[in-house]
Amino acid sequence: MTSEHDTPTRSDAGDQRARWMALAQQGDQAAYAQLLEDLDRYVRRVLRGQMRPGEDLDDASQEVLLTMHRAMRTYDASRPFEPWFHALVRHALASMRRRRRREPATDPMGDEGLAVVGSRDSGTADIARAVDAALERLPPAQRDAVRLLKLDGLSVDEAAERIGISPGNLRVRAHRGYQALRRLLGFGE
Amino acid sequence: MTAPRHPTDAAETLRARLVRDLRPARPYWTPRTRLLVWLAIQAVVLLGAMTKGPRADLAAQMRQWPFVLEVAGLVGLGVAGALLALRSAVPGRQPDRSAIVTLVAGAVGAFVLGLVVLPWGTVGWPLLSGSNCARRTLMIAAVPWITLVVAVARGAAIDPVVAGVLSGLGPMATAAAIMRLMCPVDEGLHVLLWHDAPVVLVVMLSLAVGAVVHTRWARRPAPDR
Repeated sequence: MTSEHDTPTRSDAGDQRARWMALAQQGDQAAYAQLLEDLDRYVRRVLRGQMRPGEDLDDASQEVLLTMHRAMRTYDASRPFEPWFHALVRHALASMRRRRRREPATDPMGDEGLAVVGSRDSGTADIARAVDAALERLPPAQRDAVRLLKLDGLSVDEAAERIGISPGNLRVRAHRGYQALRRLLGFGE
Repeated sequence: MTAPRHPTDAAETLRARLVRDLRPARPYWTPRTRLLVWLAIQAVVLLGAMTKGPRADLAAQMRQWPFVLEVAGLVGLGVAGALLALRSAVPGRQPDRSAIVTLVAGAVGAFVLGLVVLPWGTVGWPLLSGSNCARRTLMIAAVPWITLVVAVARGAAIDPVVAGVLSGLGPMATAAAIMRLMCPVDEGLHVLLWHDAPVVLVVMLSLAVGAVVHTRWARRPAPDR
């Protein structure tokens, strides 16, 4: 339990977020940066209890911030911040789940997709360098998942255990990593 | 108990991009303000329709309580539908299930009341004679409907289908009320076919439009993640 003197109460926090959002609506980037940083922590706490197996907390919290960014102009500064924000959290989570249901369950890179990186023969050296460079540009969570599965040759269970996450979560990270790699390498979505 | 995870690099990158992408945003007018604007448009439409000529027996009809109740019910349904449509565009203020159930029950009640109190079969099969009423209903509803759809689309509808239905119900129920003030035919089948059926059709069309248009806000281009 934290002291009520040095930690903002729930309503104080809500009021502060409302003020930041009102300033952000006027284009105040500093206020918006503070709001996003505060909300990033807050939304992770909110979402932690709502995550289902295979869902990624990072992805979900980013989805929420992105959704809020898009809906920013609908916030009415004279009203409480939380009901508005929580409606967007529910919407973002539901949208993410709908998208996941539509996404193919299979590995978009295919089983042979990254084998080229491991082989390193003269004909594939350039491609391997390009894939290596693309891998470096991935978010660390996705990069680790792809590396362990495709370069180190671990099974999903082994890789998940190595990172300390569930196999479902690892599959999601790897799947997103493959999609990002395809984009970075110019193969589209 | 594991320690809370810190935001990842990807989250920090996204936040930085969102901040960079920030532009001053003209706040969305409140649902009440938008409703007032919409009612002003409806008043103009009503005046325009009345200048075309109200039904000859309007003064007498206004002394009949079933007629007054029917028209007032339709107007109430239209205004409530429009208000809920506008609220559906604001996250956190979207109508809850009970409000929607109440509204639908009101719509069905008005429909049933109309069927019960109106005389049936006095003018025969009004298949062709009533098409003008359907056309006028659609014309009366057109501007308020487009206005409402645009107003809702400028917000961020959490449930696009509900927003679509409500944005159809509001203007169409009001148009049906105005038509009752204009059309002299009180025969049940006529009202059912040429006044009520267009309402149902446009509400269904509005549902389809809403499912597309009211999801656009969530598909706006965002900064690269």
